[in-house]
Amino acid sequence: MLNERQAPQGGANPKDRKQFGIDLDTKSNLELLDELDAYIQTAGEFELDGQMVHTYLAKLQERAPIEAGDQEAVCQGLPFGARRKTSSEASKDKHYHVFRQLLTGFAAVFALVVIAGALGYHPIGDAWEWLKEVAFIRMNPSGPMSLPDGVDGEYASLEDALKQNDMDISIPDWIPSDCAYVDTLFRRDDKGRIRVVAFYGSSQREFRIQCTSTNEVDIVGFDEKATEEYVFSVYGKSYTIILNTINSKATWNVGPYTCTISGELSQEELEHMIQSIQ
Amino acid sequence: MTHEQSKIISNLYRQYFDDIYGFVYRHIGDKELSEDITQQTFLTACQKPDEICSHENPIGWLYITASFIVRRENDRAYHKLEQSLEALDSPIAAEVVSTFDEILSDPLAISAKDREILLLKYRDGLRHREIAEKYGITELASIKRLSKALANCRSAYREKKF
Repeated sequence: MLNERQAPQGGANPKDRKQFGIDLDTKSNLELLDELDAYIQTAGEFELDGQMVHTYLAKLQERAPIEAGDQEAVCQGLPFGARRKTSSEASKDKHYHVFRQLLTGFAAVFALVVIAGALGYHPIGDAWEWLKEVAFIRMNPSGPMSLPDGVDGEYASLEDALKQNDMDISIPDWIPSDCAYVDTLFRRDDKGRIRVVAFYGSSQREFRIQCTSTNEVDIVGFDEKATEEYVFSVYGKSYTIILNTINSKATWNVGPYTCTISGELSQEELEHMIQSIQ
Repeated sequence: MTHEQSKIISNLYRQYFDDIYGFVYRHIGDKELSEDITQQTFLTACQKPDEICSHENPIGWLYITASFIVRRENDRAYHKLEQSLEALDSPIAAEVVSTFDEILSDPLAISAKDREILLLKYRDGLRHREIAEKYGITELASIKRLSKALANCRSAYREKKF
């Protein structure tokens, strides 16, 4: 055991002090080592400058490299040394690591939700709605939205009609399974206004999806027999829904166009059609 | 030693191992022994965790400790070393030296490190001071290294019956 050491009182005598760390390049290796030893003895543990010692050692290493010590092997014999972990410890570490990652993930999601909430978004609500929609569509596949193969028509589907007339509008990609696409009418009046109407139906009911180049959602949405009227929001976009005892109607704007879904649809079907708009 | 103290000393070890080891090696001239002394230095730190962890200049403490252990090791080895050097004039040593070429030409007989210092001393005729200068180690470390190389050479001589 080493003896206890005391801090030097006032350091070495100034007369004995020597200038260290100067002109190292002009000194031989043995002179550097002698000077290093002298420095360590002179400075004492409280005043010794580790960087100064490092400078000497670095100069010696530059001129006469020594074989590197095995830091990891030496560490094995020390109380804080890394020892090889047992399989159960490794397993615990792995579980802990996974747990930490999960915890970090949850914390990040929570922070994002809080921030999004503060900004007026509702990511969890939106995600929940999306999941419900996916589940609904899996359980209730869409009815045919285009003409069957081999059947001729001016437009094979509403999507086809919009594409052919350069109308960049997203439309529902789900309709009730008992209904099917029937036909699409395209009209352009003498003022250049466009109207595209797609008809869908079954033996029991029918509905239409209409896109016009007049942006008049309030007028289109007006229904004096309405029993219920509300704004339905999906992914930040608003749709006006009007219900009466027979028909349902949804209107929304897409750039210069106004679109409408109207006909014999239940409120739930109408909302699902809106949610299917990409 | 508390967990916090262990962490502090561990960090010192990671940070200063190379320098402490380098300092020791320059005074000892032997890798294994230098690693042992470096380990002993940090072991001493672990035995005095309160002192090292509250020390205002832990690197100073480490160098002084390493320096102390090196000096003690050199003092301990000095007598043994003198005997080894005297043995150079013994009949066995003379035989060894006379069969140098044979031993040195066998790569399995002695290590490249031993071969090099033996050649420097006995073929090139360098003095210990010159060898120490070349290796960047102290003169004493050079003598110890040569002594160890000779010991290995003798072992090779006895085992292989050159």
